Amino acid sequence: MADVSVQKSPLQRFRERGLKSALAPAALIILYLFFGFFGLDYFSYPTLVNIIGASYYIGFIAIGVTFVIITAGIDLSIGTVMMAAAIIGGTALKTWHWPMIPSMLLIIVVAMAFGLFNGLMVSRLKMPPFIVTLGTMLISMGVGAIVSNVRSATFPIRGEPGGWFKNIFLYITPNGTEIPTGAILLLAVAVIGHILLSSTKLGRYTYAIGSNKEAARLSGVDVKKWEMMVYVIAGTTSGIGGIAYAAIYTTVLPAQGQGFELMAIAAAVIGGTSLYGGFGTIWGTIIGVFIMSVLATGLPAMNLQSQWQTFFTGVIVIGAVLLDMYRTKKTSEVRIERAVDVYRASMMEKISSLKRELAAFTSAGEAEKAAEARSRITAATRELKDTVAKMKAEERAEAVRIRAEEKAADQEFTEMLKQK
Amino acid sequence: MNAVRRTGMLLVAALFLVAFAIPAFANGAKESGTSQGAAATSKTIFIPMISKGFEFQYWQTVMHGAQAAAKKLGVKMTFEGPPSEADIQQQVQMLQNAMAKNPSAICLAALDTNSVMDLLNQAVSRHIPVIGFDSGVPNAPKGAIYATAATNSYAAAGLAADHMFPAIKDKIMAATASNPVTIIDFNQDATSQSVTDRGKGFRDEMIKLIETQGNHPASDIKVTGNPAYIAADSPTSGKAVIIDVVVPASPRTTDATNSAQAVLNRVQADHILGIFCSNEGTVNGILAASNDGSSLPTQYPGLVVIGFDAGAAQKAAVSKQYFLGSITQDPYMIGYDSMELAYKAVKGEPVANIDTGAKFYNYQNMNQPDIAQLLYN
Repeated sequence: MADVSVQKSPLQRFRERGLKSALAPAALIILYLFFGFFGLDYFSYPTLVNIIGASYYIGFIAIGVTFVIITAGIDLSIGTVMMAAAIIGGTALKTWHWPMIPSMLLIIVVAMAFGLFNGLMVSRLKMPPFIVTLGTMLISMGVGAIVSNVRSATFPIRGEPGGWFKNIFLYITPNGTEIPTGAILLLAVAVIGHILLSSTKLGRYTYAIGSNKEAARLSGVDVKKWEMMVYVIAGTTSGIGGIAYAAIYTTVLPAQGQGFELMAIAAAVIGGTSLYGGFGTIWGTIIGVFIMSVLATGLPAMNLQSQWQTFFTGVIVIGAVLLDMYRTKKTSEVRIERAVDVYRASMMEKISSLKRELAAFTSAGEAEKAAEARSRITAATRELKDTVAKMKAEERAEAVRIRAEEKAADQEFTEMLKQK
Repeated sequence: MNAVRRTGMLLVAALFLVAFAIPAFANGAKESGTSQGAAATSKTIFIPMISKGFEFQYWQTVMHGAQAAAKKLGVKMTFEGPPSEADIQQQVQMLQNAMAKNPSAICLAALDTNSVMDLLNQAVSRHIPVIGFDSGVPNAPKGAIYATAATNSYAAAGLAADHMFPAIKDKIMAATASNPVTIIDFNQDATSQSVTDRGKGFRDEMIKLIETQGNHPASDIKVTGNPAYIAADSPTSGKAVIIDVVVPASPRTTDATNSAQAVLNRVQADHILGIFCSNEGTVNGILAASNDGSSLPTQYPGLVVIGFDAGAAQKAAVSKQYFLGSITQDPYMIGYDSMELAYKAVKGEPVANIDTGAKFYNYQNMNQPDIAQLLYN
């Protein structure tokens, strides 16, 4: 068998790896520019503050759910747990008269408790994550409404005691400028998440469990413990998201939150997290989150009616996920090297060595040899093009011939069957 | 995992569930206690109330009014509602379950009449009186709804226009085709009866005021925005005064806030004089988009905002004069009257519609007792 050490051309290499990671950020930039040109007053600082403000309520839970999806699990409860925790914290603040900080801690603790519950059910009782988290979604909606006695909870506004917590997410200077300080917190949580995923045992085992849970288990990974951890992480980020929601939207209504989880999962998938598990990054998720929030703030800015807003959001989400599937398919495709590819690769190698010679000649000042090298390069390139075209045509003819043969054989077979 | 450990895990999971459910028992006992009331010697009258949702504080006040009436009349009642005003399917299910319990009467605030049409026909054939409340059950089959206890939403929103107009009258009169002005009619959806009635009531009253006192004929006015709010007889060709009806992508606070931000972003460019928010949903959106209202007087001086209903956040905004004021209904009497109407219908007495009315409140009058009792937290 011929030596098949085939070098991919730089273009092919970029096409496979670079494009994969450049797709999502490119989509974000394109969307932002699109709304800037067609929307009203989009390229302004207040709009930037609004985009960031609209990213919190899916941002934090999206970071948490990335961990879960990488393990090939899913968490449908993150949205409702976030809102249930927020309303329980608000009830503690307003009805039970707890001070601000314990109320905020309660939000985190309640969310983590739900995360722990999810984790236990999935890892120990081996229940399907979809069902468990669906149940938790309903339970948390109910618990939130029960504890709050079905009353909405209004958090303190700036100026009231406890209103300082809003400054964690949006700081207003004395002369009225708004500074989106919550972006710092979102960034911090993203950095922590990234470090966890890329540089710790937790992260490595998360990817391992997602790629092949049985192999991980047989290799000695305590799958039960690590699988439970990712759901606790999802719960914790839901708690932070609950505080963020209260800081931005002030009033928390009971039994809300359904729908947020799907947007967070969409954000994670747009950012490159595969629903099949084993792939995903935090930064990809962040890009996905900002794509969702740019959409959410940009579509109203275009004076589109509400039905068109929801329509386009869905179209873009499907488009983004299709891109993700195309991308995963391309990188994991098993490439069968055809004769054309082998030939092309060896000719490209020859041409690049000729080019190196040319560069050497020109720098040495030998004009004649340089001219000769240049003409050889042109000849070689032309030969490459012609031969590749001929080989491709041959391949196509071969394929047609084979298909005709197959069809003839098929017909023969059917005839044979009929005679039987 | 061996059997003992598995049972152990199941016990832990069950413990979790019980822990989560304990609040339910604590509260549940409290809830049913108040509505049991004096047991009648004959069959106890059972009246379920199906509301449009539990989202807003408003419904809690309706429930308290109904519970007070139920206690006084010795009626057994339940108060239910879907999680949000968009969950039509869940409300239909609740109504079905209620009818299966063989009630004496039903109080209903339908999210969508067509979805409950079959159940309404069933109620007619089973001789179960249905009393509408809040937005009632518009376009119900004949004889299904015995009476309705509601606010006249159309008139209530007209009241808002009556109060907004004097504050912006000068700018309206100065408007021309080359210097147009805009008034925003901000509604959380285009489907529920009470919200659409309010949107249309504001629109029509504002058009009337502009024509009669604003020195602009109908040919100068243009109604634009969500098509559900543009009637066949609405002026659509004017260029001087524009009434823009804005509906967010969904009633959720997050979408309402994004819509509100988009509106506030064009206050300067479109010369927006005033914004009317026709329910708590859109009020919460405007508040979230303006730092709980505090940036309204500083960043948008002269912008007049009028809200609807109450709630802690809105009351704070009204008392601080971020809003010019708001329209309040009488949710307590809506609940009370509808329960009483249902009781009378069961007894066979004649019943008629009750308009529970609406009032305008601002920082000056909101603490007077007759207004304060209508404003819930």
